[in-house]
Amino acid sequence: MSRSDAYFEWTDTALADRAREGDREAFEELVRRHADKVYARAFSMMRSEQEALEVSQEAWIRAWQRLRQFRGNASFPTWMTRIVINLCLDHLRKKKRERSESIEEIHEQGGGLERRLPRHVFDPLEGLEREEWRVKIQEALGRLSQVQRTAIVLHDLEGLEYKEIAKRMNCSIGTVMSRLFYGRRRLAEMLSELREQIAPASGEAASEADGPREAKGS
Amino acid sequence: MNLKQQFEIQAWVDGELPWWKRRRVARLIESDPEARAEAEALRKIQTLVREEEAARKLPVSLERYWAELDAKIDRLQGERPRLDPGEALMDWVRLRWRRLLAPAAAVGAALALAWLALAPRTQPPPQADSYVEVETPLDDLGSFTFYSEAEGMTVVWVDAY
Repeated sequence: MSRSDAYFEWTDTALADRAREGDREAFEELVRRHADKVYARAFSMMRSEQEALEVSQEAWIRAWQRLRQFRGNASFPTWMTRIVINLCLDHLRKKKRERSESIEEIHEQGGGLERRLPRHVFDPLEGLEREEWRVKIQEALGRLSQVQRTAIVLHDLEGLEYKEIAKRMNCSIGTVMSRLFYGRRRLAEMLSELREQIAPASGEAASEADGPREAKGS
Repeated sequence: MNLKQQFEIQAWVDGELPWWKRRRVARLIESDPEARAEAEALRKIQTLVREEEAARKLPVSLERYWAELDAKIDRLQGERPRLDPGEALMDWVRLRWRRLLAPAAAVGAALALAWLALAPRTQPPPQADSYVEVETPLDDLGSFTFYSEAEGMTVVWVDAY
């Protein structure tokens, strides 16, 4: 049995203690356990496989260098996702400096075109299968502006409060609320449009199968 | 439902509404089907975003991912060899020793400074303020050389015999 197998039943904290003392196999076990999550969080921010791979590996290297800072106050995956989020924010800031702001961001900063859209009460994914909705939401997230997507990831995935998000994004709490609000509305609208384009028949079939629907929210 | 109410519903769903507004917004959501649908839709979006991420996997094999990472760490550490159990133990001892040594060194430095500050000054040897012989290379010739502080000059005394 290799040493990695021997570590199979160790807790994350025990592995981190061992890795802190230079044990690469213990660190490898931590990577095996949490690589998907760290990569997925990087992808949620960067929306590019290659960039997400690079940033997630950078996060693991940083973790290796800073294992002494892991005190076990938060869980190991939480500590790791904070590292990868910070790296993603750094990369995104760098990218933003390198290019001019997109039209989407300019609209978002000024209140956006979405403000004039009719309010959208929705059930975006009725009639879609589980795998279908996953693909659709992935596409829709990729089409959000970077600042809206970042706010959604930091709140809905990272679990940060408005105040903390404002600090990380260097903006006001009101701006965070606005980014979340319009980002989610755009997301819902894009999902509804995609559903109508791709699966109108399945939606109708589902409606017929379910019989007359009750009014939304009743 | 106006924009302000929609923002409040969002804050309520996000758990960010101040306590004094919570009851009012909860009543609105309970009584207004439109407000309730908005809240439910927001929750659904949050769930979908979380589930989408949870289903995401590495696009490369874990073995390849780790091999690349391992190589990067090696490069970072200057091809530092992997530790065997004996080396790991020594590393642990060195680490602990460093942790103990650092405070000990600090205490030692503080004591040394205190000693330097408080120790009685040693008196310099009394200096002859008259004639101090510096060098006498010419003894066999009946002469000697000295520095006279009183005169501020070096004197070479040569016997006349």
